[in-house]
Amino acid sequence: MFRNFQSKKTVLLSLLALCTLVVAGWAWHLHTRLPNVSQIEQWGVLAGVQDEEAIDSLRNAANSGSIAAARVLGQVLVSSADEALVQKGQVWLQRAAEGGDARASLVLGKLLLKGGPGVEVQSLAAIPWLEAAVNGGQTGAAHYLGVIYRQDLTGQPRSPEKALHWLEIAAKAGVPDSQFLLGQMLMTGDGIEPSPALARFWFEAAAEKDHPEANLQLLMAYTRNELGLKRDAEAESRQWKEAQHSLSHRPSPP
Amino acid sequence: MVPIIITAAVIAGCGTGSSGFVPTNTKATLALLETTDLHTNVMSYDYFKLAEDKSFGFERVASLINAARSEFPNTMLLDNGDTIQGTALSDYQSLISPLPCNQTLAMYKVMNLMKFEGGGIGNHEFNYGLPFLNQVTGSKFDVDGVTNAAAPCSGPSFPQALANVYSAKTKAPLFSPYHIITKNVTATTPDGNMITTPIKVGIIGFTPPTIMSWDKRWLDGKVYTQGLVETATKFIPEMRSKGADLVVVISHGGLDNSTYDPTMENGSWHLSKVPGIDAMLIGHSHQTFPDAASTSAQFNLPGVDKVKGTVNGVPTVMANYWGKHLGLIKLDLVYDGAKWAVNSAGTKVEARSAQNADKTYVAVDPTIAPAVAAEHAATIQYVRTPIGTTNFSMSSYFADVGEISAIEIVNQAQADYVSTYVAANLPQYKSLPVLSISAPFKSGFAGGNDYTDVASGNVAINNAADLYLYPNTVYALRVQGSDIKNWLETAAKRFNQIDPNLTTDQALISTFPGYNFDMFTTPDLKYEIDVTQPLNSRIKNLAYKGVAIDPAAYFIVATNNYRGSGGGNFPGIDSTKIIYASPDANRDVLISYIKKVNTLTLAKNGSDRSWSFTKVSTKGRVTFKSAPNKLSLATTAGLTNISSINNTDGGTNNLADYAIDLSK
Repeated sequence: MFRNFQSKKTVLLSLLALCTLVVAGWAWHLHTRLPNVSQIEQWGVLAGVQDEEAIDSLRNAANSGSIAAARVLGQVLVSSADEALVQKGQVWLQRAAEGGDARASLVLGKLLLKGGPGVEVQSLAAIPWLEAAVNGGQTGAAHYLGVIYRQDLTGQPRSPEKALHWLEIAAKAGVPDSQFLLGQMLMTGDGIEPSPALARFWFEAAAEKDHPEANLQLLMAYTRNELGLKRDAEAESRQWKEAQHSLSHRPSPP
Repeated sequence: MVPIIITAAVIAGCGTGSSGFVPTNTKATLALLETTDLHTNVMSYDYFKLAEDKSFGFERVASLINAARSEFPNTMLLDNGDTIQGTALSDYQSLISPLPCNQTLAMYKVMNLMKFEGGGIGNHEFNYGLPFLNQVTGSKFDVDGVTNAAAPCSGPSFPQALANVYSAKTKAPLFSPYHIITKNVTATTPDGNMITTPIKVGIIGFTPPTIMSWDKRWLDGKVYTQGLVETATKFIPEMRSKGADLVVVISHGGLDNSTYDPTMENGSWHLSKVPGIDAMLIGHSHQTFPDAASTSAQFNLPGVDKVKGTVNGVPTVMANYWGKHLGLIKLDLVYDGAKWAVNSAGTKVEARSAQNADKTYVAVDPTIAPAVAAEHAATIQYVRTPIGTTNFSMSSYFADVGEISAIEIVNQAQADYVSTYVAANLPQYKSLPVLSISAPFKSGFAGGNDYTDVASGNVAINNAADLYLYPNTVYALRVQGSDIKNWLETAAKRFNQIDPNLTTDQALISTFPGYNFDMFTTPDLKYEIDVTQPLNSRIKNLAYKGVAIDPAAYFIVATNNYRGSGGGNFPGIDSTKIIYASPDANRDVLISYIKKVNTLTLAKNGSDRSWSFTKVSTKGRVTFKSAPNKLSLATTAGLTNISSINNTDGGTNNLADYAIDLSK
């Protein structure tokens, strides 16, 4: 679109003017037109049930520069099964993440780590986004950093020490999935001396939050006298029921 | 009692009923009674073990309800939810022999009998889908996929409230968000006379917003949830303006003080801070509150008084689960001339156990069992019904040395389930081979009786529990050939490293748990385990369809949620590999598969060994343990290199020693 302009100077001046306009427009929107975050979240809920009006509202707000709307719109789109929508969602998430939305960084990092329709798995590319998310207060992102360093990847062999570091951060923040994985590494002595007592501590913490696999691990520990637990018919029966029950309502992943 | 009250009221000139005059400072006591997480445990009965279990059951908590009703002049019995799912009885009435419209679920039947006055809706109410929930609650959901009969079906005879789940179609709440129940209570006037007078008790219900992921298959696109705090803030003033004297929250969720989020699972801590709540009945966590001895993190949060039973000052109770406890909040009410208010000094909160101090249990209410006798008998019949036959015994006595009669059927069931799902729902993966892996869960750790052992003949549902011990769900992982190699290397930790030159006995089996000894059982995949090698270099000649496995090739492996979530710490196996986290239990998938195949044969379902030991001559014996006198099972299965050393290993665990000749 710039090919009709005669000199670089003109181009630069025009760009400057454009930027000024955009920034001014952004500020104006921020102060006058942008909906608040709870309104945006509500649109997100309704967009999740294909409410066209809510999707339009989100898109308008995102186009008007709302970072929260960009993130929520991105979240809605990347949960689609449609490749084109997921890719659009990825763009919105990246915009929100670059705008400093730590939640968007987390969702984007997860998308790159797990892949999705039209999005290849790019575990290493996920790392900077996840780190940004942790730095922005989304401690749950530390879980996924732990998962990545526990894997053996092309270009980056597994690092149990780094995995332990990140999983511990997330476990201490109360993420049951991290508590379970950390417990596994401690139980089997992966990158660290085996520590059945500490492993049990984390399994019990996760089990209290209805983590099904942690409940199962405690059940199996009873049946095999592991982790300092002893065979006990009553405890096994109780633990079996808890493990079964928690299957149908596992804690949400970070 | 009642005539005396009325007489007293008439003498006092106060009248009775809703139009009566109530003097200022009239006092009443109301005990709110809570059941929660009953999970259709009507009877004190374990349908898996086919035996009585006195430690739970509605028929016992019913006795606690009767006792509380005798103790307090006014009670109001409310249920917190997670009521209609959780036992073979509920499966029977929903999936096996679906309840006709004109009948009431066994659970609701006995709740009607006990005259419940209100209830909430838990997350498990959604487990059988919206049409079923609509039917059995006698509702008329205006939701896509639900067809309503002209008149509502039979259901509970008490009102149910749920404020934070909405129809996507109408944007209206799925259930009534709240009810205002007019309750006639006996009260005492300042001059000592007893009157009956109406009090309006508002009940409002909440369920965890996380139902949207837990029951995604039923709910996605059909309903949506709202946050607890936003919903309560909207409706509680409305309830007050409609005349509610009391507001009782029925929140199916525990306590969590982390940053509030409208989708948080356990929102009751934040909910308690919404103004205008007189009492809170909570549940979902299967715990007891108040409980001075509780070590549960949620009951040791700031603002939570685990002795008195308050959350941010709001009297709160959680009545454990399965009818093990009855929750009780006693409220002292005072009429100030215009409205009723709670005198908080008189409030008392308790969770009463159905277990006595001497460890015995309270007697059952004898009216409960007869009311559900037919449903109970039908469920037992269902659990005992043969689901198929087998022409071979399925056992795990020699699973450690390659006998797979109890393993292959599990792998076949998992593979069949995952293949079907992928073909129908994951077209992007349909070209990938589907493999299946599982482990001998019962491998003798606790002695000779700790093995799977299903005799040839009929296979019943309760046999499936022997074939698949643990409560797991089927997961499908997408992995590469290199992951499979690593997976098997980890599983091969089951074996000690054998020195062929040692002339003394060497034990084959290490301390590595049997539940992590994963194995394939398919003619398509072959591998050897070389136990003379150190860890992580034991898997030899790993081949798929006769060709060395390509480390970069992709496969789908059917396994369980434990392995798929990183259980056993298998390197490279974690949640990022999951392509399908199914809601279906491995055991149920196994039952369905046996029903489908119907006739199990050794040739088709019990003899496809994928692995064998790498042949090596050892100078001394290589030994392992199993139950005594089982050698013929190994021989029948074609393991001709096993020999019996003795009929007891000298211990008390009913184990014997065997040897394996690794050169054969």
